[in-house]
Amino acid sequence: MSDELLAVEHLAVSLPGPDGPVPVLNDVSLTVRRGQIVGIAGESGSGKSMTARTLLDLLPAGAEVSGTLRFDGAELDHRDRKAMHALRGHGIAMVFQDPTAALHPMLSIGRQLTEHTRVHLGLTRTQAKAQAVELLEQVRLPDPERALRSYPHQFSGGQLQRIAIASALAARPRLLIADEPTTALDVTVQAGILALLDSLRSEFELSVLFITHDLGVLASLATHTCVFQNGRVVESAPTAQLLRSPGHPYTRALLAERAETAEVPR
Amino acid sequence: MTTLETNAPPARRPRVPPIVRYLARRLAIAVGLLFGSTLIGFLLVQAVPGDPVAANLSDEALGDPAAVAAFEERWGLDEPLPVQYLTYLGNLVQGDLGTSQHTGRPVLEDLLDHIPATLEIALPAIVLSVLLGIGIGMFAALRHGKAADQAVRVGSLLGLSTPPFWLSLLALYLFFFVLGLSPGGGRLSPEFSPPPSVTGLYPVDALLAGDLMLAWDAVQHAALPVLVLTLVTTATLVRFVRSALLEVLRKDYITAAHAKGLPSRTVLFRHLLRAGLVQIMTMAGLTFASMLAGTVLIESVFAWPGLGNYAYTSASALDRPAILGVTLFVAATYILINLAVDLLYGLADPRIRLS
Repeated sequence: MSDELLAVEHLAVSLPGPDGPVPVLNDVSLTVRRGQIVGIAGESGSGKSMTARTLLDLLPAGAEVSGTLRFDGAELDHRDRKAMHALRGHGIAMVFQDPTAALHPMLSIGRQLTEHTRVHLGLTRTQAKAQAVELLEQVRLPDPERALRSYPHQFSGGQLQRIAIASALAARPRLLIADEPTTALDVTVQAGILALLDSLRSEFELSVLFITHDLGVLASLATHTCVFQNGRVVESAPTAQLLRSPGHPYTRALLAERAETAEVPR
Repeated sequence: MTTLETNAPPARRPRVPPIVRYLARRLAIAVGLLFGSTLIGFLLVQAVPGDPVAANLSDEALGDPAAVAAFEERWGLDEPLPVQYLTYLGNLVQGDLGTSQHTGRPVLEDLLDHIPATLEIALPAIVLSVLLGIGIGMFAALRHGKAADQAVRVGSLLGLSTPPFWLSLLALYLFFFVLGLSPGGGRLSPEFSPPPSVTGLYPVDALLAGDLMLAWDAVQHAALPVLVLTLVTTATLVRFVRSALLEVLRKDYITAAHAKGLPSRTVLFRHLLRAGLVQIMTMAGLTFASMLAGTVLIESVFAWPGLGNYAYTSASALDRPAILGVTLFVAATYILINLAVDLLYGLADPRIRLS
């Protein structure tokens, strides 16, 4: 299948614990096609973020990984740290939950938007800066030139998340992992970020792995959704079908919970 | 902290730049502190049990009421305490720290004679300990929980709990007596005389005078006290750097920097160290100040004619002006270093610089 970008098969991860390894992921398989947004839904502790961290080799020391990873047609050996790290930023990039924590408080926005593009794309200082301005325009941040000279504390959470997305896209990754990118934001700001991600997907021919605890967010965003529970994929289906007729009791429970707490119609 | 969703970063420009306001406030606090420390120092010196008259006059003179009265009048001891304090302050403002009852020289001159000797061992020691502290502390933090980290923790605890004077004696015994590598105590061997004073630091002045033999002799003499001071302060700094960096390592922005695919060297030195550096410099500054004040025992063992030695002799003689002079110098050092650290904070952290 040539339009497959990422394939994860039978992934299992365990972390070191006081009484031996503790399994956190069990037989996880999922596929992301080019230009597709795939949703990962589940409660905290269900293994959503662990999946993301495994892909970027950001697991804590001593983690044990097994299974197969395929990215962009090439088999990946998760023990080959050099090959895994070569994917970071350029192949796979990540946007974090809390943008106020994910940007370095003491480095300028300009610095944080250009340091990795100069490494990955070999840009000169001037080229990197021009690209950063362009990116900030693409994430609809006003006055990009001025923003480059500013520091994270001078922006709001929503603005910072736009900057973090710009930073993630700067090295032209093919897959963007968005780990609950709207959870820490105001409800009114959330919709803007979601719309932005969707439009960037088509602009950049990007694939997105969208992690959330909120199934409803995925309705208009993801074409395919995997539901995680206790480190396993309990259900994996096209989003529309999954929302219409959830097959697994856990998915139904998640949806019911959503119906109770939902305030914003989507 | 979080601003509301606005269209652009704040465009409003206050009349006084924030950094200037910040520094002005710090400076005002520093002046107040210095003033307060004169009062506390003055009262503490009065509270020391013992009679300066008895400590400074011979038994024979003590038997003579006229001699005692003369001594008291000479040093202003017959005035009420508040008057004594105000007189002291009045002189202090004019740069006069009084006259040492023990040496009979102006305290300021005594201090200026002894401070360079202490700086000669304290400056290299603080530079070495900061470099070692950052290096070893970072090494341990990156290997958190592993054997290397445990070894560093035990090692630094050992360094912290070893009394410096004992370490000095041990070093002197080993390098001077057993191995014969060190020339022993003092700043210079007897056959040398001090170089013409420029900085007051013998190795530097000797080099300035072009006397390599003299410089080498001075360096050899300073080596052991520097070693002991370095070991003691490195232990403190290693533990501090380790815990400061461990805290930063847990931050999302470090994970994010790795996820961006930056070389790990860049993440370590630009992101990790940058975030911890302000705290580390604060600690290094305070360590340096306490080093200047705390070399008493080390200087005694190495017969090093520095501030510690001066403090020790003044205290034994109950030489109030001299004790007060040393106290003020140490307090001023603390305050100045704190001020420098505050300045550094302001420069290093955009959250202070710009808001």
